[in-house]
Amino acid sequence: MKGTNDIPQAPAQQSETPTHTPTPTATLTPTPTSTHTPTSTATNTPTSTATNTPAASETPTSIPPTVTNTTTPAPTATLTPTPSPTPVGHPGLPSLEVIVYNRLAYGPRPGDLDAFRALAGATPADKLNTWLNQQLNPRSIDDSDCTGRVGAHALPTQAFIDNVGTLPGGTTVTVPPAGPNKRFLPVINNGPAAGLTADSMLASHWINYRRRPGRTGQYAENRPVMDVRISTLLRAVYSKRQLYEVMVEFWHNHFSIYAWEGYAPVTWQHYDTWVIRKNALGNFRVFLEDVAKSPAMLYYLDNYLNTRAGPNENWARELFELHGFGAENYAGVLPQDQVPGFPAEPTKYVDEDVYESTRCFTGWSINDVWGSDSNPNSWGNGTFRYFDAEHDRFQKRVMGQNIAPDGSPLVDGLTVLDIIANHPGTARYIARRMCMRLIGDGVDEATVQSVADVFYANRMAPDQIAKTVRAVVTSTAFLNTYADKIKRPWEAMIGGLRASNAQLNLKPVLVNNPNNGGVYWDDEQDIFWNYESMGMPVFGRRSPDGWPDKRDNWSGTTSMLFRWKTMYWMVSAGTDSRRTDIRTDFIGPTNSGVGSKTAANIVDFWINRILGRAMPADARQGLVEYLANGNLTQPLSLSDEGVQDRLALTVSLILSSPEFNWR
Amino acid sequence: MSNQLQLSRRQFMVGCSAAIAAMAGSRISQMAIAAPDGPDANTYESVIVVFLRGGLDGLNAVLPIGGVDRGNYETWRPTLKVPVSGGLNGNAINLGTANTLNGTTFGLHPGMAAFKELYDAGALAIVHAAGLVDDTRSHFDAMQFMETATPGLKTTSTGWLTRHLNTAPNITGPVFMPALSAGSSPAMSLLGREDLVTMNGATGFDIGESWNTTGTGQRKTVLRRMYAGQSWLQVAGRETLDAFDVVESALKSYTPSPGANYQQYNGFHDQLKTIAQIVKANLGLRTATIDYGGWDTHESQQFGNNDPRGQYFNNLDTISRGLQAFYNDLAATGHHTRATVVVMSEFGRRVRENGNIGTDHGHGNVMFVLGGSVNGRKVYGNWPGLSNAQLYDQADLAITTDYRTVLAEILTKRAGNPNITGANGVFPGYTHPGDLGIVR
Repeated sequence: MKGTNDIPQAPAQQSETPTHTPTPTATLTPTPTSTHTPTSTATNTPTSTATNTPAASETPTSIPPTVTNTTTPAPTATLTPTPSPTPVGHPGLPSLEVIVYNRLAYGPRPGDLDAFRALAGATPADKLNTWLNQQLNPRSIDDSDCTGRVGAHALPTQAFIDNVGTLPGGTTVTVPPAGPNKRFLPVINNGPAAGLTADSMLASHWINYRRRPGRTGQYAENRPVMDVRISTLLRAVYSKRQLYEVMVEFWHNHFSIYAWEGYAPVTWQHYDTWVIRKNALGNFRVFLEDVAKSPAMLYYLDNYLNTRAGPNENWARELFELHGFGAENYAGVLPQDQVPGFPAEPTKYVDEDVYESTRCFTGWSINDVWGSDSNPNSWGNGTFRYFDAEHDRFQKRVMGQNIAPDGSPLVDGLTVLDIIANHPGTARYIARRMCMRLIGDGVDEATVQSVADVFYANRMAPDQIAKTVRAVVTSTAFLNTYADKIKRPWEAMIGGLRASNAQLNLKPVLVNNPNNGGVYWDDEQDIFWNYESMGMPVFGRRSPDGWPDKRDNWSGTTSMLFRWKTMYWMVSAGTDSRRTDIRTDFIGPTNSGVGSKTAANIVDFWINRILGRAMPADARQGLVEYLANGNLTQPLSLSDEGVQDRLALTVSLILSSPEFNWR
Repeated sequence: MSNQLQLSRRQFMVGCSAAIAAMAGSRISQMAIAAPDGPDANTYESVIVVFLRGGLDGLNAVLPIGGVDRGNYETWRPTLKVPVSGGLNGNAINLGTANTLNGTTFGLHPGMAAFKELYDAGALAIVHAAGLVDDTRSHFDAMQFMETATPGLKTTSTGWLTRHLNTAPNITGPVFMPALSAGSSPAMSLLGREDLVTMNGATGFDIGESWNTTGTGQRKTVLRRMYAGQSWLQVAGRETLDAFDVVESALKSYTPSPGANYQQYNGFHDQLKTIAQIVKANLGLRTATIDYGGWDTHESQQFGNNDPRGQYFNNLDTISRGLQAFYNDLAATGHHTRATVVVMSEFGRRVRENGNIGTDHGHGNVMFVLGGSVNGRKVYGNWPGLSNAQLYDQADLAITTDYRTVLAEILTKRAGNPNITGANGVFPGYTHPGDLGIVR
């Protein structure tokens, strides 16, 4: 298998820059009686609809040539600290590769920092440009090591996704027939070619959840989300496409869904692969539409229930407030026509816009027909379905724009998405969120606006998000900011696993327990169980706003204490011969990397290996004294079990340090 | 103040056994100067804030059962109305005609039977048509505005409980744990409070067990050296190490009082139990926050017409039983007279039900105040009515009591803080219209 096929892409992204000619709405017309999603899901061009979008008048020349991947100039910003007063106790600005690997990646693995230093380029900023050119084209990076590791885990609902179209002869996904003790999950055969699509994968999960053939296993419907959780962890740790993984996390958090109850688990492979990963560096308008049509979001925010007879505003409100405009562009109960800029371009949205948009999305639902066991084809397959009969057909007014009555199917909702994606307020909000994630808590407004300008100018570009990320990373603020934030729990754990070069084996095992659910997949949950004590369970945010991204939220006593405890647990698991999920070698690297094995030399070796920079003298001395255990002068014997224990715990303490946790 | 409080946590170690102090390392014993608070019953008030995240449907928690608004209520909520009689699984619990507000009498949702007992015991007061005076229907804006208590202003960097702790004139001596967020992340109402402790419970609040050759104490010593600097992260690390010392010394185990029927395997009940434990341990707890989510009932709020059971019922049952256990726990040892609980949510829900047996975001809401010094068995407030013309934005229950009015009375009368209004007070920009008489 190759390592380049696990990033799904929209056809438009592979082929060409979308034109500014609206796609004929006829291609969006669903067949109301169809049991399958309208083929409109394949026509994810940014201008998929609506002749009345602001975007339609844009010309390609409005896209600044300087932000394309090949012609981007090296950043001109210097590495001189900003003139603003340095906060008390601030650790100072480290070398650029330390910043890059702690903010645009999940921390360095051994060798990463040296590899960055060896990149083409005269200055660190030049090297960053080289690095970005690779990272923003993730398919150009050979990631076969990571893909191989994910594949070796044989995740029951995941493995075939990575292998689609890559195995000789293709991959067949079949569903076990209904019956006692038959799990609902697809099984993998190397049979004749069978193209797996987003819909077919979703359908295979959905129908087995809905019909629940022989459903007795306690983990049955959670299996897909458990598999995504494992593959996400493996990719964060091992993938060379680090910036891509960081942005996948960013967008999962931006379009946050609680994945562990109701319908969500069976939709999760689809949501992760065909919504989030597909668009993570793509076009925001395309992204919005994929989210809006995804069964995961349709259920999570109740739009599957939104009909003209029973409107439900949950989705429309969060689409405006969390996904698009952001609350910073919300003006409450103000009447629409009193918003500044109305009607040409209202600067803010109001409740009336939410209500009108709720009407626009009536009928956007799921194919969830309840069938009969005698006819397997009679069941809905969980894919997007538009019910025209439940759509509010009359005219609406959203953000000053009149939407005519009796519009073609889907057009009302797609117009709302156009309005959101083409508004400068959205650009500012997305830019601010990205700056907050990739730079720091208090990014200046000028930087945010300059990033927003790139987002806005490229709103028709297939790589709009990649260009926006580049704008963030090449800003002066990015280069001159460090230690404004702390690693969030996920970054801390992944960073620890990367820095210690831990070898993970989280393979699910097939259990046959007639007293507890018959045959089902179980897996090693310790790593997640321990991790969750830090307060940021994977795909586990209950509310739709995603995890908070300010340092105050992650430097409380629970967050601090349990990140120390997690590092302790991580190294103890890594040296416990009875454990198979995490293996970590502390002896080998010490043997090969340290000359005279005094406590001081060993500590300095591991500090440099993990942090890439020095620690304050007294902190280092504390580590040396701890490892030395009284022997400060003579070489330590690495065959001594006591020394081995202390060495592992010394590493865990370095992983618990402020220097490790800064970002 | 923070440095003093931080110091006081270490001073606490003096009051502990010599063995514990030795285990905690030499730095602590060096810094030890004063004795901790005496072992007497608490001489200070603990204010506990329960925040129901997601927007509690207060109009179904405390609902009209008599008067003209019973008719309006049934019109707005043909499916969701809580029946007065003949319900499939419970009816409204009558609070009595003594509590008529503007001609409307009220009942409790059948999921809150435990609250009726507290109400009858005089420990529970209800304030209706209260809330945040701001136009937002956003969860996240509303929560932020309520917890920073500066409606409409997003730049406030401190929570209202933080400002209370910073301005209360009676928090002077050594205090080991002035503020707790029960849970894994800090409540925004305690934003900016460095010595805040966030904790689900004392069990497991540690840095991992010792191995045979390596003491926990030695690892703590290294952590203290690494977190010795003045950066914000190092300050946070030191606060954490100090909190760990206190928890390790004072909160090892806990047995609730008889009659405190906390439910097992219930996170909310476990967190309440932890708060009770800390109150009784006399660590100086002035404020604690605890969250309970699951109130964003856009759909399937209950089973259906005439049957109030469902998710919303279960949530009400969980919070009312938990708070009853908590109250009984404190009352058994006489701590209930110095503990006041206030229950609030970011907004109420739309008066008219939606098409999915649910309700969308609204405005005015109900608040509850519980404690041994509460003038309970009473519904407070000014009922604005449910006719179309009486609704806020023609859609929601209007707000006639600013939620800060309730909090201000508790802070002044119970917690002894007169610094409520004014630019440097707990509620800048707020004018207190006078107490409602909710607490003694």
